Amino acid sequence: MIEMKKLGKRYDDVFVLQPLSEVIGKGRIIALCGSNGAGKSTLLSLLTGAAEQSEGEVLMNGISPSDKRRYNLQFGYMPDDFEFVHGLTVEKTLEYFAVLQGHEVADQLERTGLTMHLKKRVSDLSKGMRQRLLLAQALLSSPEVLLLDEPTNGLDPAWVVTLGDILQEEADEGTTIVFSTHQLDAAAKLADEIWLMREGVIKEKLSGLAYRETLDRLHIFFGN
Amino acid sequence: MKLYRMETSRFLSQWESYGMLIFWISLLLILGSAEAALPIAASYTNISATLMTTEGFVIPVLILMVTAMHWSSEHEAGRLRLYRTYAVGLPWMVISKYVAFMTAQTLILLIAFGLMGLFVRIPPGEWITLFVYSLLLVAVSAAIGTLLGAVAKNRIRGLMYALTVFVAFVLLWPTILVSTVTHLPYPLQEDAMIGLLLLNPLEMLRIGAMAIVSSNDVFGELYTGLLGWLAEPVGMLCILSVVLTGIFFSLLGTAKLLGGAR
Repeated sequence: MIEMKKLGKRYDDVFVLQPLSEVIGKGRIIALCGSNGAGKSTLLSLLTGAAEQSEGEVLMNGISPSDKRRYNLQFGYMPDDFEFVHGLTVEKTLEYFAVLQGHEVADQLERTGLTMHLKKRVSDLSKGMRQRLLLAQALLSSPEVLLLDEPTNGLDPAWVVTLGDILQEEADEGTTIVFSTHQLDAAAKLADEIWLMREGVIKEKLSGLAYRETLDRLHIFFGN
Repeated sequence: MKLYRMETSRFLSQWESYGMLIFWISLLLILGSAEAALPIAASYTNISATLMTTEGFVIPVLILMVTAMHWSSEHEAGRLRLYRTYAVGLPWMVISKYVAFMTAQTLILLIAFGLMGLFVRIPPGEWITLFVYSLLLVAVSAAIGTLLGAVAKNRIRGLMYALTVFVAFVLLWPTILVSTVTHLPYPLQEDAMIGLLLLNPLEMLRIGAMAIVSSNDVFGELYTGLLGWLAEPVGMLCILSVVLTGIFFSLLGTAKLLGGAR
């Protein structure tokens, strides 16, 4: 469970994320949608503790980011803008991530379709494969919360479906998931609830609607 | 421990780590062939002093660049942002990487110094001095380079910072010192010189090593008293303290810079 209490971020006097209070329950999948600069990545950075909030606080399963080690053990994070160490193979890269997290790698390989590519250098991977590798590292510790920044970027439609299956499996096991995306279709398919953000504010929340209706509402929000 | 082992094998598998070895072999080939072709060249050109002077320039510039680029590329590639979300903690990671880098460089230096025996004849005492000098230069440069890499947010800045520090603290430091100190009244000059030297572990090491191999003639009048003192045990202890303090504060600064939320 994630609790945000008047959580906000500003640089000087300009808020990039207006203070918000929300609770995301166990096993929920939340999609953050909005144009560039809407505050999606800022919100995710605050949830990871990588960015420091200017206002309020965030708790993950009752633990504050000030208790860094315990807080970080609660979640897996998949960043948007990431470059792997070029010389390493997929296997060595995952081993390295596993050492940093104190976990084994084996069980995440099959799910993310990386088993066949272990000996490949990460620099030889396609964008989609690198996204899968990033997802695998986020899943390594079997965390209770998954925070994914643009996980659908570079994935082909078949893999977006597989990603949806993985996220649904995780959610069924009680994992809370928050992800940002520009792909309205993916958001409508994967999320239990969509937060529509603009200028650092959640303008609207969509939940409990049929897929088609959700998609229509999203298109209206983005003015398509 | 696992992280340290992985980092060591990573550093050993990167060709950048062998820059020192390549330089070393080239230099020894030149000195060795000079000695073989013209034996008097060995006594005319003080081989230990030549090696020491060259090391004093090449090790800092190579290591400062490699470490600053390593950490600034971790920034630029967005890896630090991800590592910050791991339980291991960036300060621990900084220390593991530093120790792993030093392990890899010690192995590489041992190979280089082993090869030295094949090319040039140097008394064992000077061999040990040269080795310890090289190792300490690597240790200080790596710590400062790590700090510079943590400050720089991208590779170009990392490279620029490394070169600026090299030029100011290695290439120009004696000139900076002398030009500053000569403005002071004469009785204060030597104390001021010692005081300013304590600020720069790289220069402190260079002077200390030169004092040990008795190449005092490369220094000017202002250094005369200092060189005698540095060659004594208390002077050595002082050099070691400056070096260790420099390493400690550089790594502490790096851990502080990288450890907190942004």
